[in-house]
This record gives sequence, structure tokens and C-alpha cells, in this order.
Amino acid sequence: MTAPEEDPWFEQVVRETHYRLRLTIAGMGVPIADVDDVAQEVYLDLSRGRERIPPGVDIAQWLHGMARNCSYEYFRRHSRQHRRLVAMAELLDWSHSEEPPSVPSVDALNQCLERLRPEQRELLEAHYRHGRSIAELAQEHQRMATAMHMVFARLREILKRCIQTTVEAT
Amino acid sequence: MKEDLQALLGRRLELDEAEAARALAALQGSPELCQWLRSQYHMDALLTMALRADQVDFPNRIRAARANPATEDFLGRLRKARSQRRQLQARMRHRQGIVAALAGVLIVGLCGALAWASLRPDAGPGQVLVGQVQVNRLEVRQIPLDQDFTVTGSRPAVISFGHDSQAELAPSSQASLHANTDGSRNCELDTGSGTFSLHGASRINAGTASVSGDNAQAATQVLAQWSATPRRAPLMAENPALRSLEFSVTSGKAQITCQQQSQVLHAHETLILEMTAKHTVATSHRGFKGTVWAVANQVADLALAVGDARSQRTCIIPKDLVVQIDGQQADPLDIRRGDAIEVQFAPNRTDLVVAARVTTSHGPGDRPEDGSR
Repeated sequence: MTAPEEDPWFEQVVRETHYRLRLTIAGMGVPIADVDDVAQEVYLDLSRGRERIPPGVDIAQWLHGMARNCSYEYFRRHSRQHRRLVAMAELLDWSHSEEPPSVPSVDALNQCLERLRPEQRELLEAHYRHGRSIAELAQEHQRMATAMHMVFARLREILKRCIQTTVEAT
Repeated sequence: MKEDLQALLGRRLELDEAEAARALAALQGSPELCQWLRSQYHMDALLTMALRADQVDFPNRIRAARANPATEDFLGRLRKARSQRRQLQARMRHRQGIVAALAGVLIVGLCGALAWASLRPDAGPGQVLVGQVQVNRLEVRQIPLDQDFTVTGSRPAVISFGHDSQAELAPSSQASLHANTDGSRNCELDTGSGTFSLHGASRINAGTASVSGDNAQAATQVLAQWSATPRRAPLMAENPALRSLEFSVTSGKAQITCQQQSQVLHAHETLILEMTAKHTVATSHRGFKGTVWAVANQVADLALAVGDARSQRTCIIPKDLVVQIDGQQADPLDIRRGDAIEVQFAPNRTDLVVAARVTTSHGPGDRPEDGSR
């Protein structure tokens, strides 16, 4: 095993951008289980060829472009409907409209989770912390899987509104 | 429109052509929908990053990947193999699904043909047993399938469904009968109300809702009616397309399915669905009515046995809950044996009682006694 080559610049770029980059990739529709794989591909590409970044181009902008390309490539490799998924990813790309949630959102999220009803929090924890599938939870709560997806969608909407209010208040 | 995107939330890599086309068309036509889906994906990622322990230290993962590219290649190969295996399994499941569906259709077809042959001599289905029914303004004793009929005259009409299932429809009600493969009938209630006795596969359809019995030996008795609930009456006057549908189960239990959501209603439970012309369910309400058979005064709460001789439910009411008796706020301890009460649950359908309304006035009944039942 070779020791990692020290590269403070690269380490700093990863530290400062990984959160936003991963949300960008997720926002284009890459399934959550594979978001970090795609993000890793982007950073390894940066690590291998930093000199390929054109002069004057902002690193965040370059990473965003790479994230977009790697996400499209991911869809090509993983789905028969990749053309439509790529078209959807283009529509969903935040650079055309709003930006992904900012870094302080994680703290706000934790506060907002505390404000949910216990059964709502348990449902989110079962899925996100303990990795239980939506289908499994739907069966347990005697609901259709589609209905359970909508329950989660509503909970995410509630949390998003709560985060916005919390961030604005601070 | 959000329905078109449901598959994207759950299994976006396994979309079929129609689902993908529908979702893309929905997104292309609505920037608001794009924003909604993007924020759903963002929140999904945010929750995963915040709650999953293995996602916390991403920079360390990149450091490790750079330090040992060989290991990373190995992990990459593993991931690729896992992904290919997943795709193969999905394809196999798809093929197995098609084979199972074809086999199912064949078996159902054969069973249906056998059932139809064995039940044909039973002239029951569609027969008008009591009352007057008209089809195309002509009075009939045998209602043809798939034809709208109206209950005329001043008394209810009793109609046989076959398989001992019956409907007693109120005057002016409009409905139609449709066939099941086992010879039983479904009743499509278009307007009005009726009391239904359901056996076997017989169903009531009304609006976007469908009601079936539990297929047990005992019949399920369901009261179904299109009506205006007091709360929604003013809105319904403004918007005639908004309709309210009420199901009350008087005995047995019934399964009610509406817009792919099912729930089971037991005896003395009522479900109210509010629908618009676009078949959207606005709200649902669930509770039950019955007579108090016993009252047990416990330390912090009051346990009520509510129901009749055939079926009873126990209802726990906190003592500090404000109830209504004869339209006025009152103490739960004023509820007595023999009172007719209506209990309503909170929208989350847990056992939290939010209101108890005594619908009859008190006579010289018993006061509740500790532990009495």
C-alpha cells in the first residue's frame, strides 16, 4: 500500500466542495446509494489531471461540469431509459435555477428532525439511518408502497420548509 | 401531475418506456414540478448524509481511494459486479412476473369459466326482490348488466347480487350492476344511498372508491351514501363537482380501496371521502358510533365499551378531554351507560381521541362505576 501523496490544495478542495457536489449529483437523479461513487469518480479525475482545468475557470464550476458528465455517464451505464433520464437530469440541473441547500442545512436539519412527531421521526430514521426499504415499511404500516413514497415526500417537504425557516431565522 | 413522478422517487433506474416518457413530459411541462423533484432529491441526499454513519467522512474516503487505487479498482469491480447482478435480477424478476401473470390469467380464466358454468342456473343476480326499478324509464324485475337503473317509487328497492349479496337502495338512487368472474356482481352507486350486504367477491363501487367484504362466512353490512357533510355543505353548494361519500360498516368488516390506498373498516366505523370531479380525495375521516355498554373509571382515563351485542370496541378517553354532550362542552365522567356516542380519531389514525359527542340526551341512567363493564 502506497502512502497518499500530500496535496493540501486537493484536500482543501474536497473539504470545501464535497457536500455541495454530492447534492448536485443527487439533484440530477442519481440514486442515493450511488451518489458517493459518482462523486468519487469526479474527485479522482481532478486528482489525476488538475492541469486539464482551463485557465480562469473556477474550480467549483469545473467540478459541476464534471459532476454533470459523470452523472450522464452513470445513467448511460445503468438504465435502458438513459436518454430520458439524461434529459430529466438536464431539466433538474440546479445551475439552471436554484442552488442546492447550503452547508448549514445539516445543523438546521437536525433541529427540524427534533420538531417532527415521534412516529414521523421513527419512520425517517428507519429508512435513512437503519436502511429499511420503503416497500418493507409500507408492508409494516399496511400501506401501498406508492402511498409510503408519498408519505416520505411530504415529510421531506415539511423538513425543507422547516430548514428554510430555521436558516432565515439565524 | 406528481403521480407521474412517483416511479422516479422509488425505482428510477428500472423505469419502463411509458413511465419514463410520462415523467419526462411532466417535467418538461412544469418548472414547478422540476423544482419539487429537485428539492425531493436534495432532501433525500441531505437526510442520508445526516443520518447514515458510513456517509459522514467523505473526504477520508477520497483520501483512501487516492492512497490505494488498486484497492479502489477492486472495489470498483465489486460494485460493478453488484450492479450488473442487480440488473440481471431485475430483468429475471420482470420475466418471471410476465410468466406468472400469464399463468394467473389462464388460471383465473379457467376458474371463472367453471364458476360461471356452475352458477348460471342461479337466477339471483340482478333480480329486483322488493320495490320498483326502472331501466331507460321502463320498469324491470331483472336488471341487465352494465345498464344504469333508478329506484322509483317511495320505498327502497332490494336487489339481489347473487351469492347471497343484496343491496337495499333508497328511492331516487341511481346505480348499475357489473359482472365478476365468479357470477357475483359489483354495484356501481352513482348517486343516492343504500345498505349493502356483501358476500364473496361482491363489491360496491362509488366514485373512485371500491368496497369489498372480508370473504368470511358472515356477511358484511355496509351503508354507502353520497351526501353533503355539514362541514363541506357550503363548499359543495359553490362547487357541485365536489361530492362527499360516506361508508358505515354495521357488521363484519370491509376493505375500502381508494386511489391505490386500502383500509379496513370494522363494525361501527365510518369513513367519509370527499371527492372532486377529478377524483381527488380531499380528506378522510374515521371514527365509530355506538352505544356505551360499560364505563370503567381508571386512574387517568375512562375506558368505554362501545358497540352492540355482536361487536364491541373499547375506547380509552383521557379524563381531561373535553367532550360534547348535547352540543355543550362537558366532562367525560358525565358519559353514562346507554348513551349513544360518536368517537372521532385524529387524522393520523392513531387511537388519540379528539372528540366524543353524545348524541342523545340523558335519562335517569346509571352513573359510571369504577371497574364496571
